[in-house]
Amino acid sequence: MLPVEVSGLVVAYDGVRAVDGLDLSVSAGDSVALVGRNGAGKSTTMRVLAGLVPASHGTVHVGGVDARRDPTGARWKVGYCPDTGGLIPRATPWEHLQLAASIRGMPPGWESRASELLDRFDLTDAADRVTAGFSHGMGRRTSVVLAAFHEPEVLLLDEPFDGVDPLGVEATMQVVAEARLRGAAVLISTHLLQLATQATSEVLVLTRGRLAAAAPADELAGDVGQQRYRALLT
Amino acid sequence: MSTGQQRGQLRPLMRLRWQMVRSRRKQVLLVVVALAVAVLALGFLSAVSQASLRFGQLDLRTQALVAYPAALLLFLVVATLAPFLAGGAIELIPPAQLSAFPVAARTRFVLSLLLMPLNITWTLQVILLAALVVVGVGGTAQLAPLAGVTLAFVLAGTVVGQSLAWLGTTVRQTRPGRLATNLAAGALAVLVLTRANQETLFNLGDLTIFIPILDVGLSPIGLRWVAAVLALGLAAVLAGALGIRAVAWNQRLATETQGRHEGSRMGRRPQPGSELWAHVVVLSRSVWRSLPLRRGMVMLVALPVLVAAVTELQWTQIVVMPALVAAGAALLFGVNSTALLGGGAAWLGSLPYRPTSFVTAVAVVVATVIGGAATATTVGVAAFAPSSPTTAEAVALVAAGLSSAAWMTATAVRQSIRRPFQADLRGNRDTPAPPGVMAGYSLRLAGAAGVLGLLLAATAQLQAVRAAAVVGTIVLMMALARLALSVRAWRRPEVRSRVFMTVAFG
Repeated sequence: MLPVEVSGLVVAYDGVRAVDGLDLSVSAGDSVALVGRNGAGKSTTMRVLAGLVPASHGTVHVGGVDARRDPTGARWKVGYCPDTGGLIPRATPWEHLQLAASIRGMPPGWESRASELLDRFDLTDAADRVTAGFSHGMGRRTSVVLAAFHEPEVLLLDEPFDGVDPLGVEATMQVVAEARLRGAAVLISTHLLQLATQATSEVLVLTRGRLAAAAPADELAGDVGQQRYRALLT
Repeated sequence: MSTGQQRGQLRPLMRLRWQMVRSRRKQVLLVVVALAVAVLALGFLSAVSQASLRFGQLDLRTQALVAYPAALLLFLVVATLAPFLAGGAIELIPPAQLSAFPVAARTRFVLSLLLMPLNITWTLQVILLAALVVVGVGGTAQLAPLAGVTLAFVLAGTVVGQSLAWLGTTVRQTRPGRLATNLAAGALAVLVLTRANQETLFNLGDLTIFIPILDVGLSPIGLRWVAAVLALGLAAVLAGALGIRAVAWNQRLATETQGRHEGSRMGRRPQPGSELWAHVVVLSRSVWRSLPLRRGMVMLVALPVLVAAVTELQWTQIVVMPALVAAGAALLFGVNSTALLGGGAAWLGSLPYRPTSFVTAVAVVVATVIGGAATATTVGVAAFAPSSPTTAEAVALVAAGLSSAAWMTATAVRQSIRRPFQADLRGNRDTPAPPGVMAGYSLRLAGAAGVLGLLLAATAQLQAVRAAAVVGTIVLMMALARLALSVRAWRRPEVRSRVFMTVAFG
């Protein structure tokens, strides 16, 4: 079974279908991008995979675990960066990492991995400041650190590049590449097509909660890819 | 910005807030509740008036008029303290959500005045004043003049109180202001503590400044009455001008103050030994690092102690305290405790946490804050009691502390799960839920606290030791059962999803 397998996924809020019969899969060591207009169902799909939102219909397997039947089991497999926020306002990044280490029962020694990640994302100086005072970009970078910290089987990054400076983008790209190298499946949801094509091997275009098109990342790269993408959206 | 433009902001903001009420059904419910409260208040006043007329008790009328000046003083205290405790005012819409709009200081000040009826303590004081007027002079020619002058006093007092609260809150946002107000508070505390048990700081003689108002109100409407009403109106206008300036100053300082607190470096502590403890630590720090929550806790404990120091409360009165303080502490954040997670709820919801450990941690943190506030207040108040308690009074006090802390904790956890809201709890005036919802919570929790407190006070009065223990145990058991139901509800994934999604994304 693939690390991410979704079939006929439907998520409805008050009768409105945010996701409407979506199928997707991500192989081990592969990375896939979800793109599309606002309200296309990208973030909702990511939330279902992260075990945050229950699916209304369909099957969802994450790391071989049925996320509908065993959401907690699925959460052991994922590392998730939500599309906005994602941080406890009056806790520091270090305290977030401590909480994650406690909940995941990580053995002693996690501190060196945490320090290395914070350093890579230029967050060492901010590691002991509460996140409420962070800029948007700092918040995004911290969220990526938290998602990647425990080296998950499935890495879910929702808008990881939004408002992030070039060095932060570079660090995120490195995290994605490392995850793929160790055999993790990576799913990235973003509005930034060019960065999506650099970070992934396949791009899925969503419209109105459905899969509108799927293409190899290099086919949607550059100006020609941009024009093709625009045509798919309209 | 022109005055016309500033005036034009009021209506669109109120319309926006009304539209933010999510469903038509809720809008209708709000109107029905507001009308019901108004009808109940008028019905109460009418019943009081009829009763006083029917029984024709001259003593009762005289007593009402004697109490009137004290009620005016109490109203002024409440009109100032209530908005001060709310960090300046109740906000119609959280300032952070309006940061992109040039909302004028005048608009915010007027809105804060219009929202005063949502403060239950203020509303109860107004009803008390109205009741004293109808009992005192109902059915006589003095009703119109006294009601008129009382209304003018209420308006002026509210504007003065609101302005002082905005000014006090703003002054405390500056370093010298904080120093000055801390010194003043310290001096007041020393004064109270050194003079306690020797003589009361205030006596009825201090109320003589309010007697002329009663005097004018009991006279026929004439030049003196008009002059008094105009003077109160002028006081309101001057206080209003001061208040608007204070709001403008506050708007300039707000961002700077918030940034200073949030830029501080926190010390690293050892990793918590268990998942439950890890949740407890994060949630507790979220409480104590929040400016409005810290300030609320200090006020909640300090004010009753100061009141006790100057009024020599009896044990039967002290027994009522723990429940009232517990209700106040629950209102600080407990009724929407998962909001402490903010946007982090989306991240936490993706971790393989054990649901029961999280909800237990919430209950532990809420219970600690509520129990801590109730205990600190009770100990502080008891220190000024004129004598040692009897066995019945001591049992009633312990029963009140334990049962009210448990009941308020259970209620807070239940509401946190049933009705979550996205709430920052960063700014001075941030509340865990919207103003209307908070008014409803205040009424419910204060009602429960009042009933429980009075019941246990009655057992203390009657020296009924066993009855106090039985009441306390029954309420404690009911609270534990309620808490167990909340834990069961939290085990359902769809419930956790709804709470975390609401808290994180609104």
